[in-house]
Amino acid sequence: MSYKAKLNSTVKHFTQAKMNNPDLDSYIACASELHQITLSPAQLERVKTHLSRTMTIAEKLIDFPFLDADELVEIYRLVD
Amino acid sequence: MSKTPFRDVVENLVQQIQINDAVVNAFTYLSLNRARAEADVLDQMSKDGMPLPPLAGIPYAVKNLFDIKGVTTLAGSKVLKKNPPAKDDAVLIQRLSAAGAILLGALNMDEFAYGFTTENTHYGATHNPHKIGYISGGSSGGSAAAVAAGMVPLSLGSDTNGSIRVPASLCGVWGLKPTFGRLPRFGSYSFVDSIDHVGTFAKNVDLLCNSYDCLQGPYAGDPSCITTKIEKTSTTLSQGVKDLRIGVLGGYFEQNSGPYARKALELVANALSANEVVNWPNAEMARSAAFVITASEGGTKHINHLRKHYEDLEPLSVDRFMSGLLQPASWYLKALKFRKIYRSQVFDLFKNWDLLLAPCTPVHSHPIGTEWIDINGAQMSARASMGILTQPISFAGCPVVAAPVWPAGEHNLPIGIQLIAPPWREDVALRAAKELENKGVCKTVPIAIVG
Repeated sequence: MSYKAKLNSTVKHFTQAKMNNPDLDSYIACASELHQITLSPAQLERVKTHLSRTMTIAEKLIDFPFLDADELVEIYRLVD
Repeated sequence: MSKTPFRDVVENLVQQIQINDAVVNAFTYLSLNRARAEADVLDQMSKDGMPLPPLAGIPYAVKNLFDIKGVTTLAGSKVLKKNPPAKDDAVLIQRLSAAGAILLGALNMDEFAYGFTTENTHYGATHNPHKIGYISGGSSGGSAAAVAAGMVPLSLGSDTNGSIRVPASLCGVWGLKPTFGRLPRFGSYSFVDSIDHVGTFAKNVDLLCNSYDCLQGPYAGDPSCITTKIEKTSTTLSQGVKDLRIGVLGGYFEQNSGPYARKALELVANALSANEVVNWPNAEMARSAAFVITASEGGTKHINHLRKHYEDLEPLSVDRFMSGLLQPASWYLKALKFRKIYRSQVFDLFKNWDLLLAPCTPVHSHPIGTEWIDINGAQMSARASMGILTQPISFAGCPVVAAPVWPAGEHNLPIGIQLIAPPWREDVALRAAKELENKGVCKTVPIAIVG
């Protein structure tokens, strides 16, 4: 399967950030190839550990009920 | 009045550094010739009866992500080692030099500032001067350890998620992370452009305050420096805290503070008559968002290093950079949206408070190589969790002084307390710091290092 096909097959899980391990394996392999980086199996396993940890930490953020009107922060303007 | 020549002060200090640093491993570069030349200029000015600048003869060193003219900027890495030497000093070094301070060298750090421990595989771990074999904290570990060991009274560091406050806490020195956008970062190797701060470590509050005043000022060449004026803090430093509304952060901050940190907080709160517990809004979410932004920007910045030098990067952080690179853009954008809401909530909180208190770190220092720490019964990653109490604060951009406390006495390990002020009110945090120092509640403790 091409990496594009692999990517398509995982994208629906990915948008919900609720991937199981096999999904993550293919996501990491595809996404790293997309960035022109080929990971060894050991590297992939370690990256998976970190991405899983970030997913856990980010879960509430991903589910946060933003409003349509909510805008991105203006980085270099601290107080209006 | 006879005064020891600046040149002699430098020579004595260099001897001490060479002895102590064999044990502590804070320095990665000693700028001896430059230090001697700078001392000679000051000695000549003294001889000629010229007025000396405000930091005349104060020795300092910088985290090795600051450009030093003629020296390659490492940012804790091996892969930058072959880069050409910096053409000029970082702006903050230029300002300290103009104020008469004497640069002694560059200091160890976590590679690319992604870490809280300064367990640097390429250049060795920086040891905590108060307990050799224990971490100094990071990522500005060399900067904190050099001050704690008495090698320099002043140093520069950077803080994205806690990289000044964490090592200041573990090494028992004063640290200042100013308001986001206050000091120019130009000439420093960035980590996370949208959160990076630069700041200082010092052996006492007067030096923390005076050096900060010398570092202030707009800089047109740096869009991240949004300050428009110099707001001197030395003039108000000794005003005391009687007029300040001071609260103690509870909730998330209490849950993630171990007993030692809570004891330190109690000592500081009592000294400042802070009795009311305050709820900081959305601290856990803020940490999540800071975590996501850090990983994403950090990973993206280092994409070429990940492509070409994966095996040469710090094994303790390379996979985190890679993971950050692969994070979905939607997470990053949500974190930026949340940050706008969050900032507004935090700034609203400061309508009712002038200063808020929380520990810098959940626990004190631990042995180098530790993988897990216990925070109130929860086993947490030692390297990722030391910033759990600092991340929500820097994410809002508030200025913080890290104040060193010794809850179990001076022969035991220190831990720091964050004195958190509203944006642009470094003066308030420094006033509280001075009060705590005057009362003897917070201080640096001189040590004798035995190799």
